[in-house]
Amino acid sequence: MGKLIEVQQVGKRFGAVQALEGISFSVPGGGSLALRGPSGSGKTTLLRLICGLEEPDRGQVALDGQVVSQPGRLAPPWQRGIGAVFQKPALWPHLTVRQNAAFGLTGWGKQQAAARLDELLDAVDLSKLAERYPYQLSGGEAQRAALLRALAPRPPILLLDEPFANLDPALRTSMLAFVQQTQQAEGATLILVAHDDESAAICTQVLYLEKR
Amino acid sequence: MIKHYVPLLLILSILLLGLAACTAKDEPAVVVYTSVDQPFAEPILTAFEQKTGVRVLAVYDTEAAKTTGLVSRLSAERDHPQADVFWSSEIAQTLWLQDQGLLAVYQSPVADDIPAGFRDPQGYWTGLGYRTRVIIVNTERVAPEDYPQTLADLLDPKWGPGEVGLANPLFGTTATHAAALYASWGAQPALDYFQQLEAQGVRIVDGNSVVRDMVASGDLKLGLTDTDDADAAVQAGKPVIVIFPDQDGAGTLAIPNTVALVAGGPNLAQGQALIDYLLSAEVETQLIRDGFLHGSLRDSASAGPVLMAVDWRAVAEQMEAAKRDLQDLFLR
Amino acid sequence: MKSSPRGIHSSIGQGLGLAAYLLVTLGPAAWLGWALLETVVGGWGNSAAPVLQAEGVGLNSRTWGLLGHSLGLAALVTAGSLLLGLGAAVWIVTRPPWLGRLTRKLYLVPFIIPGYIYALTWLSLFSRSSLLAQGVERLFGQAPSAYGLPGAVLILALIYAPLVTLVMLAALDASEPELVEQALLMGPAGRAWRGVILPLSRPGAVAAAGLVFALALVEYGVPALLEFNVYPMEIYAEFSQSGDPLRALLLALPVLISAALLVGAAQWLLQRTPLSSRPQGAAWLSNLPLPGFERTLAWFSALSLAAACLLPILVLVIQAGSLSVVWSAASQAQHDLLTTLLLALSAALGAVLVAFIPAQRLAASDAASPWLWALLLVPLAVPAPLVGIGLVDLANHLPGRSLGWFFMWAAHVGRFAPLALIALVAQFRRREPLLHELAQLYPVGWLRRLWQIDLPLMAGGLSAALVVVFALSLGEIGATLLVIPPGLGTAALRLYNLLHYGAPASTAGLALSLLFIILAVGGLWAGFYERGVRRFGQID
Repeated sequence: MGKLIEVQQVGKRFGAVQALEGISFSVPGGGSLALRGPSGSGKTTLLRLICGLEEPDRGQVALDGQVVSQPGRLAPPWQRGIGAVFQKPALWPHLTVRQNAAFGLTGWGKQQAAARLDELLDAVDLSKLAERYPYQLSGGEAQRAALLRALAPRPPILLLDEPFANLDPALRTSMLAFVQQTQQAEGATLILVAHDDESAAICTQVLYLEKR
Repeated sequence: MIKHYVPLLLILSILLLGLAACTAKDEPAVVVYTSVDQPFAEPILTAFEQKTGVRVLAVYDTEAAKTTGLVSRLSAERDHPQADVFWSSEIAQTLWLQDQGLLAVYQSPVADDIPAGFRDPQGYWTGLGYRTRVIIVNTERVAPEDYPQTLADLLDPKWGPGEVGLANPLFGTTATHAAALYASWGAQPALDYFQQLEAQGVRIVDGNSVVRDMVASGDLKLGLTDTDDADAAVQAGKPVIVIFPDQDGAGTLAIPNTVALVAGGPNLAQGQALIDYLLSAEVETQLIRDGFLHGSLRDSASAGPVLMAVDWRAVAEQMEAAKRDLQDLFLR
Repeated sequence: MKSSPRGIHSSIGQGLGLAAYLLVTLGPAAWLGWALLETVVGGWGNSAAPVLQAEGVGLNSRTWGLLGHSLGLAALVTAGSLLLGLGAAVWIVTRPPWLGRLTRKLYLVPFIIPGYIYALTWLSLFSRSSLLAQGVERLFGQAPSAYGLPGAVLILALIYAPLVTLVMLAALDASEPELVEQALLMGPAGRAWRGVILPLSRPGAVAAAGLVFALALVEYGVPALLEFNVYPMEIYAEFSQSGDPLRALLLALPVLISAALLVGAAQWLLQRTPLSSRPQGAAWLSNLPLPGFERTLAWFSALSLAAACLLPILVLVIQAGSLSVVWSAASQAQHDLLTTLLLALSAALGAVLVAFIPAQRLAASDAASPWLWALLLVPLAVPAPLVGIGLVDLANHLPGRSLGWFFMWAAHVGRFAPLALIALVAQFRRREPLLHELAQLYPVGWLRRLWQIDLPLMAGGLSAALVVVFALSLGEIGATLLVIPPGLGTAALRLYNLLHYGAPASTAGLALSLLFIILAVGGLWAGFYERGVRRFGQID
């Protein structure tokens, strides 16, 4: 079941650039939020703060009521139950598509894990490419493999940062449908950085960030 | 999942096994530091092991460390000596160690027949055979009538720049030779001699074995080196001849091997036993046969070349002054 | 889910890592330095203090001249290895893939052959009795001289060029096809090389230059053999006169300071240059035609390095004469060879471990000041015997003296960890942080994350660091001699001993068997690396 995400008054500065300031919102468990705004408005930074890859200068992030990020205190990213896809697919270049996806399946039985991977590989149409290395994939294939990797462990939280921006329209539509279906079927909480109305439409809430 | 770590575990276990295999065992042992070339020293130390059952743990010096090797080590280990015996291929370092208070007295019973000039009166060190400082000449580049007979002959203007070679006089037996000349001729005449050599374009090369190799190949016409180096070239059939300088005058400088007990070493009895063995006539004979030593100290007065009379204490006292002068002269 | 005060934890970790690095690399010299300070301070009240009494310690016109020799030699060697190393790297990436793969396994050979053997080979080529010298004499009426500055520069440049190639290959492998393709749309291939590819790898060149400079500055073996006096000889001469490590340390200060300043400055400049972060293979470069000058340079470098690999081996093979000589030299030295191998392997691992955390800190560009760089790299210039003496002195103050192996290992790690540091920093700068961060999102153990994701991602830099330290450890004698446990020997010590003894056949036999072992280990490693890593394109 998805986790409740609560972001309260977070601020983050990189050197002279104030990337985020005073942002607050919450997404109920199993809910979905589209994050919109011009480039440079801090969408990616916000996702990274929720992941625990950045430390907030101010404010806090809580998951299911537990504070996981505040200045000076960070719960490690791996304890948060997050699957994420960023703008770049960032597949580990030394692992095949299947190995990339299998990395998060610790504690799964062998057969269980294999079944999960087969199911997802099929769903994102990568079954034939499962043993390929990232450098042997096209841009769209790599994006789908990254999505596969994020979804595989059934994370309670799914953070997607414009993952389908470079796909052709037909593929994008079908991937969005797949994400929506999976999210609803597994009850994950979704935050999606959306640069178009079509992507935003799969979410029940929209948050618009202004450029500072 | 285990298989992912197999290479890591493999590497770690190899290293651990290796380290375990190399740690010392508990049995009677003696530690010797020696600057004698390993191919000469090792068979002798092995023979001692077989004879006595005492394990010999040796550290061999290397000239490439520019004499900062075992003597520095002995000095650094002053507070916790690790070595029992110091077996030097020459004498200057031994004298320095004696002055530093790093040696202990041991009068070996087998050394009674070694002439007094080649052992310390108090027993801090004892000579073991000798090598001499000789002139090695390339017979293809130098006609027999031009062969030098004295050290002074090296100053003859017939030798052009770059034709006479000398190992770096800041290190090794060449440094000892220089200090011996300082002690024997007086500081100023000795310095004059080296200044004239320098003015004539003597080549300062990286060690006595290099002098030998360069004379053998004809890159140098002649040079000063040690007997063991020179004899090796003769043995190898190189076109060289070995000349003992000053046979009609002051004699050739003989530099003894020296054996000494390290002060405070951990295995006193075994150390003394090793010294007795090293100073035996048997070992001396073997080292002469192997071509490392040129002659025995025991019959040095009656056989072999005429040797220069040397007051080793005076040499030790001149050592620093000689090195300073020569450093200024040659290291620039 | 427990949150932890991450800022504090990571800074404690970093502090400990830095402290461990400094302890291992500078500890022995600092220990001596402390004694020096005590002597000096004590000397104000006590006129018998040896250091203050010392005359001639300090720079006069003669020693300034020697320092000038060393700096000039180091500068020329740096320039030479940059040209040769860059040329060789370009040559390798522009070969057909099979040839590129083959040469990538061999180009480090000149760096691994002990410099002394190199110099002797060089001299035997030019000795009067050689065919080459006789030929030249017949043509020009005068035999060529192999001695002096030019020979020393050439030999050292050849020895160090592989280091430059190592760094440059990593840089070229990381160059992004898109950037070059853009350039190709706008001009011929020559402009792409000169305008984009080579400038992008400039930071690598700067890093390599700093490394080579520091190594050349403290080198004395090859210059001594070629009769070119350098400053480190002054340190050894002083040391052999006084036997006083403190005076030697004082004399070493100018070298330490110049090396630290120059290397620190080079590295600092380097970190301000943006680096490509996309891991990419360089296979596509093999189809890109080289412009004229670069092509000439590439072939010249490749041939020089090939000659540098082959000539010493050829001379060694001729000197050894037969396989049985090699075999008997190897079997006589089997314990030494084993010790050497274990020592070099463990020193390489240790140096990488010790340098790991400081390298991460230096790679984070906001954190590293030139002073930190200088502090971390100055151990490169500490003369080897001082490291050994410092360790012995340290051991004197510790209970239990059966730690011989540990001190020998510490000497090697301490001397060569700065090189591992440079290789690792070059690697960390190019890494894609997202790849590392994504692995943190999964609830797997840290060991698994490290072993499956982070280590393979760093494989290129780790390999480079391991290989460099391994090679240098094989040739180390200055510090080893002072700390080696009695009864043990290393192949390098035996090799130099044999050289002095004057048995060319056994010397050559031992050198060849050492070389064989190195190539075997290198081949195993390359196979392992390639199976696990290379097939997905260069990771680094």
